[in-house]
Amino acid sequence: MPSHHHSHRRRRLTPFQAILVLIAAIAVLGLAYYFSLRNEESLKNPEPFGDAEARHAYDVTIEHDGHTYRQRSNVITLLLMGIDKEESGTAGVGQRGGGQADFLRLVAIDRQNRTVSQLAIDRDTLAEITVLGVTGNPVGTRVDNISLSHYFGDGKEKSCELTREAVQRLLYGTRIDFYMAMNLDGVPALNDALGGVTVTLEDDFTATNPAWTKGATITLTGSEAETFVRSRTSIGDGTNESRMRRQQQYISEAVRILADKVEKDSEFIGRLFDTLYPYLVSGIRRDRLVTEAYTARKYDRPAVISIAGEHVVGEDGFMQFRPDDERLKETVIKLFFQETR
Amino acid sequence: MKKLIALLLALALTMVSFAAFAAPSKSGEDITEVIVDPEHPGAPDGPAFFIAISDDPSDIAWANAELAKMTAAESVQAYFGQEKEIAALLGDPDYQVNEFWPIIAGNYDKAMGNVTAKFYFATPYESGAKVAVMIGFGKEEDVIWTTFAGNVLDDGAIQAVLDPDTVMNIQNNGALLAIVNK
Repeated sequence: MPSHHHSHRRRRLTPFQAILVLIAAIAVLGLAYYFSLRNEESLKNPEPFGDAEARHAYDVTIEHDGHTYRQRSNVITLLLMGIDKEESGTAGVGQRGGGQADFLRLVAIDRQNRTVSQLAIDRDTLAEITVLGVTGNPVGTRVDNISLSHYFGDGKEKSCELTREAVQRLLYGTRIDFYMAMNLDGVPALNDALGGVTVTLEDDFTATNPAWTKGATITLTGSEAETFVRSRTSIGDGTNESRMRRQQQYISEAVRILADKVEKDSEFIGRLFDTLYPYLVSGIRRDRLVTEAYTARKYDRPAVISIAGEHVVGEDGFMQFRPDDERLKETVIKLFFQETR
Repeated sequence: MKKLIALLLALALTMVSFAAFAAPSKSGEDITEVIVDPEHPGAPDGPAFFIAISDDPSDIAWANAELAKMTAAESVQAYFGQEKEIAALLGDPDYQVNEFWPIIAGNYDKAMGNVTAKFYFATPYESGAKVAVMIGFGKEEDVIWTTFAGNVLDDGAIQAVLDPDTVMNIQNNGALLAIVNK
């Protein structure tokens, strides 16, 4: 019987196979490096398993009347800003000239209670705002009207971040998850995308439009919407408080129309976002916004909450709104926090 | 008599309320302000002398162009070309410039003499601190800067005294204003 001699000659890799092996090695090394970085990050903020207290160590908390409250993670917060700075207007010097956040509304999407609440923040609210030097370096803070927080920065993301910080400080550190700012130049586009918004005039607008008498019901189109939400002087008592009431009236109707459209057309919010994009500075991605809006479309919408306080004329001759700190804290706790156990 | 007092009180309250309601809301441009006090004020019923931040687009553009040059320069003092003057006021170089504006003036006459100017800015300067108030001229050419001593008052304003030639030049040609501090 013949013997079979198996040749155990070592086979060499082909160049193609060598490349595959090299790629696999790089992938393994890359993954190892990635996980080591994650491990390093988790070591900085360790999450000890089985320790509920430590697990929440980085949450926002408020102390009130001897109780500790923690910000609820199932409430998504979105800061909406209307910026008064005409795109065609004069630019500022350096990092000054971002316009004012004349409209501020903090939206709370409560997934547990299935509500969408809104906290209206008067643009004249006295708050601690960050000041940037003309070259953009932080130089301290000052107490001033909260709308001015947007004046500093680039008029875009930086200014929005400064406004978000100011509102967070005002609301006892409440974390604001997202923001979205729209220049008031975009109101006509928003209005027409909704098919027009109908309002009943509670003030005499004949100074701007002879047909706009007090009590008239009109459907706003195009720039009429901007006039309605922006005008203040020569309208009613000329106060920002009255203008906020008109803005609230407009927004209430706009939200009703929006909710109806989103209910009927799941693509609507995305198209609206695209239409308004030239006027937006958004700290929330389009897909996230679409998801949140569609999820919340059937949530209850309680009446808008206003901060208790008083309007006074400051020493500088400008209007100021001084919030009632105690009642503000109670409002914030009710909207965003829950007592720790 | 009581009715008259009640009526007067009601009128007073209405006026105060009206004043409150009519108060404007503040804008960013309202933060920066200049208050002037000349040695020899003009006639009280005459046009008021002022120094103000310019909102003219070409002046804003000029200020932004010079601000860019300052940012790109080797140092703050090198940009201004006033190293000795600034050092004499502020000491060792470690300077910052947080305020930089185009300014204008109007209704000034040299007979008014020196002008004590109080500048209110957004930057919170430390009360009692010394700063260098820089005035620059030369809109269509290289800007030439002059240094003035500035003091920070208790209310945060920066006070400086400007001579008649400087104020006249601001009025005739416009200028740039910058604050150098440590």
